[in-house]
Amino acid sequence: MIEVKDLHYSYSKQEAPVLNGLDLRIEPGQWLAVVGRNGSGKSTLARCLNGLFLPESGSVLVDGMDTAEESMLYPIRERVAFVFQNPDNQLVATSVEDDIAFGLENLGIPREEITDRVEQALSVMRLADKRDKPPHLLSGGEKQRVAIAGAIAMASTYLVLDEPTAMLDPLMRLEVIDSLTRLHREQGLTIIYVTNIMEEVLLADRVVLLDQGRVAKDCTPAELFSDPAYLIEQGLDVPQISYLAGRLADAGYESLRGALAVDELADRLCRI
Amino acid sequence: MLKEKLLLGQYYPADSPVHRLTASCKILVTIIYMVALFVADDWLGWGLLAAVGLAAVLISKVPFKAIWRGMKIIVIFCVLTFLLNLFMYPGDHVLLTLGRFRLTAEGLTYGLAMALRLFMLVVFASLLTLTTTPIQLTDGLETLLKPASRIGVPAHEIAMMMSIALRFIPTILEEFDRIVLAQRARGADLKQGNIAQRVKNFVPLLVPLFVAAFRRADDLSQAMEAKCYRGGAGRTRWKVVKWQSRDTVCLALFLLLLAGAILERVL
Ligand SMILES: Nc1ncnc2c1ncn2[C@@H]1O[C@H](COP(=O)(O)OP(=O)(O)O)[C@@H](O)[C@H]1O
Ligand SMILES: [Mg+2]
Repeated sequence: MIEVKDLHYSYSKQEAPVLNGLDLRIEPGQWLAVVGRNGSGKSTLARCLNGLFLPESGSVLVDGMDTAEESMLYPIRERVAFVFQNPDNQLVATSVEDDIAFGLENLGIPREEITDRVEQALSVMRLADKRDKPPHLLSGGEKQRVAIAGAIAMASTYLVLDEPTAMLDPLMRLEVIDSLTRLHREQGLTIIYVTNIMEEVLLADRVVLLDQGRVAKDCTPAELFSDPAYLIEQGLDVPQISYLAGRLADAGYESLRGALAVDELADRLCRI
Repeated sequence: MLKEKLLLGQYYPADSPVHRLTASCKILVTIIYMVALFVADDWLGWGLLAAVGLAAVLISKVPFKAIWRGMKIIVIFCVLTFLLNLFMYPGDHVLLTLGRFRLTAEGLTYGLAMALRLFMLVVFASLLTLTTTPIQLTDGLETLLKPASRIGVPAHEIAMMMSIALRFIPTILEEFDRIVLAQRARGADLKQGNIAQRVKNFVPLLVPLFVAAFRRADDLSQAMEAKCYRGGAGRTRWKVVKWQSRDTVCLALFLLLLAGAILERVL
């Protein structure tokens, strides 16, 4: 479990704090979406979860380990893997398999075990035929999958992704999302998914909306989308179906509120 | 585009005894060969070394064309070196007088020798990069520097820096090409005007490139930290190339060559 307690963080003394008393508990096995307008502190929060940024006050505990304790930093980062937004800037090594091995090398894992784990990560992420490719010859989606493979190889239990598909085209986006859903389902990986794409929020069990460095709403995707006016106020997109359902509900068809998919809305409409 | 013009990653894949040598062995041999070139001081030595260099090229199965591609500028240097020595080297046996310049036999010999040394030096060095992948080179360098890390040479860090540079050079060149296209699309004319103007036209290309590079550096350092990177101590090296007996033999042969060159000079 990751427990964030009364977390404060600011980049400089002069400016207002970016995270301002944020509380959050993330249970293992969850898929949590984190949304909020630009500048609401999503990326900052994400970087606090694996100790890249340390709390100014308050605390972040990963399975009981405090990120503020220096000796805990590496065990924490082993458990909490991170996938960044820009696919180009997070692959370190000159080939796919070397990049997957990078984290394992850092942990000082014996050579034979690295070979096994890299092999397994390659096969899980279906990258075996790309193993020798240099990163600059991969597509954006493949780069993100390599980054995810690195996390699997480290046997992380939590995977934090900061808008991993923001720079990808729709097809590659599906590719990445597919592998994530598979990992979540088959290996029970806990996923903390920062995004501003509302279709992706629908994948989550739970969604947290950040506003001015605090959790403004903590609910299911269905609940979040049942209030289009609030979403717009928070600077978020509203999925078209939710928008339609919301407008109809406001006009008196209360049973339609919160419909997320076309089929669902059609079903409910038929029952009126 | 720029990427093709720069001779980067010019590795020439082939299956040859030279390719199979360990990178650290090849680096050592290259250094020894270079030293020998400059220790040798008569045509017997230079001829022998040139023959060894030629033999290495033949054994490596790298076609002359591939070597030649990287040598064009160097040949100009060789010719310049030759001419400079030809006319400037002091000597008594005058062959020809051209106005104020005297062409001497010593100058001719020395000029030819210098040009040949320079030429062979570059041929041999390019053979190293042609038969060794950049990453093997980096690894080899780390292996060689490892003993020096005890006296404070950051061996692992140097190798890591080289490998990151290798990883990002293609990415940054791609970015540069993109910026050039973007500026052209806005009507920037990069090929017009005198040198000063061209340099000035270049500034709008370099600024975004540097901004992006610093951003990248920042992102990458976070990515490395997130993957528990903490320098070389306690770190496994996954792929280690083992020093083979053929490396020992090769190294011994070149040491012999160097010893011969030294003896010849001293005696
Ligand atoms: N490296 C930084 N230095 C200074 N301020 C920053 C830095 N990164 C982000 N900020 C500021 O912190 C706030 C929150 O940023 P961020 O966590 O990136 O938000 P989000 O990911 O939700 O868009 C923004 O106002 C942003 O300007
Ligand atoms: Mg962000």
